[in-house]
Amino acid sequence: MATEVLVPLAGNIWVVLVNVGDEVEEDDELLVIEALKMENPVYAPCDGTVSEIRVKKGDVVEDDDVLMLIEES
Amino acid sequence: MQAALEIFINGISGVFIGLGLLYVAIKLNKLLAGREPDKKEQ
Amino acid sequence: MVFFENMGLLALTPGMVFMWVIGFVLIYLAITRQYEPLLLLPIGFGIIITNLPLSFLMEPGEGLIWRFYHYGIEWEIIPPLIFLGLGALTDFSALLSQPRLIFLGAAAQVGVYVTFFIAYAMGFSLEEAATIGIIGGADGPTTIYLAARLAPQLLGACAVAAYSYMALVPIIMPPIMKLLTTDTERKIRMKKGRKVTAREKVFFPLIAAMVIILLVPASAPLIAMFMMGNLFRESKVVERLNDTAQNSLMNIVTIFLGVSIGATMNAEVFLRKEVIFIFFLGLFAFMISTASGILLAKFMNLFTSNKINPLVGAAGVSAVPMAARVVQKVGAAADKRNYLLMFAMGPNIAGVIGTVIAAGIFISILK
Repeated sequence: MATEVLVPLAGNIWVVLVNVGDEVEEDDELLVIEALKMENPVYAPCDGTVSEIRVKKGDVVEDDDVLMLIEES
Repeated sequence: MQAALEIFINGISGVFIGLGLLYVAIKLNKLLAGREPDKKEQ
Repeated sequence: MVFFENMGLLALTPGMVFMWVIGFVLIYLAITRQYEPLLLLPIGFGIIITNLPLSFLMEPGEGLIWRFYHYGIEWEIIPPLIFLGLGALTDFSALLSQPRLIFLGAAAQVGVYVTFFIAYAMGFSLEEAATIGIIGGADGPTTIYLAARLAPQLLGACAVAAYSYMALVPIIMPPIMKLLTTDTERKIRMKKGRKVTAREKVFFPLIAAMVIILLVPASAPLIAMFMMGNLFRESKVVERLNDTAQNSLMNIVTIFLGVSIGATMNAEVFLRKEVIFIFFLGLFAFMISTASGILLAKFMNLFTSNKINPLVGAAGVSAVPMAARVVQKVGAAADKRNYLLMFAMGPNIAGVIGTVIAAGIFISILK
């Protein structure tokens, strides 16, 4: 079952910290969104494997866009 | 002291009234302009 | 020899040398710690050169810097132009999607008035007290605008106090924020407001300008420029003007502003005990403003089920966007998945308008 990782606040993708296939645990930092010159980490909502990453560095994202999918383990 | 008190009260009320009116204006603005015209027949 | 008679060195006083130190400190802080460098660097430089005797840079009618000061600040041109740029840089979405946050910006102005009252009680004139109080609004151009209108003799001190405390907001605000909120309150997650349409964002500056100027006409120079700048931004049809307002114009005006303010701070004007009081009162103003915003948020929570995180109230202190960033940090420290930044921008921007209204009210009463 895939869990969506949603954008918590609008901004630009500053850096993506994981790759497709990585194993992640809940609360791992997945990527960082820059807004108002502040770096805001986005955390994994659950344990699992990253199955899809829909953004890359520099993309502009809005609230509730889907950033990536995690297959829960 | 009297003058200062008057300014104090006028001032704080003025700021709240001013921003209060702006609040109302924003709500009205939402009513008038708040719907996304993504229906192309608009 | 004539050359030696005209040397500034001979007219130097210890006070001037002390002012050099202040200038150097501001420049140092600007460069190494990046404390508001856009203002504090030219201000620091202005302080140093105005305290080099016999240059006549500030000589009324003739001096180079006097001319910047006279035509830019005394004539009240520069602060409104800065507001033009600020309006072009401001996105009102955060406020438009959750309008009730506007009242947190209003609450933060309480610091202005409380400080005004105390300054008056300490012996400052009404005009001086107003200028000192407005430091609590945490808005540089408004402080300068009001000082030039009501108490030009305090312009330098108030401006430096305002910009210094704005830079120190990450140090001043968190202790107060933690003192006045419980851990549970700090963890409150807020529901996102409605999406804001492009049309709303175009109408807003027009409506806001009209409402505020009809109510407080004395605030017109600042509000009109602020809203026009915002209209440039949101209309999307004047990108050249928008770009100039945000960049070149802002930069040009900031240069003149900084050096002029610094140059008003000569030793005679600045080295008096009133200035120490101003610095204490300014800090006090910031602290009360932070507290009142938080307290109103807590009060509002008594009447609504859609709870406001009280930390967001602290962002009513209109140091944009520094105060909002501080709220984000303190909120994330309590719950790392809580992203308060955009919510905090609502009160942050509302606070700017609130401070301008406060200044307008002072001017209407005292002029």
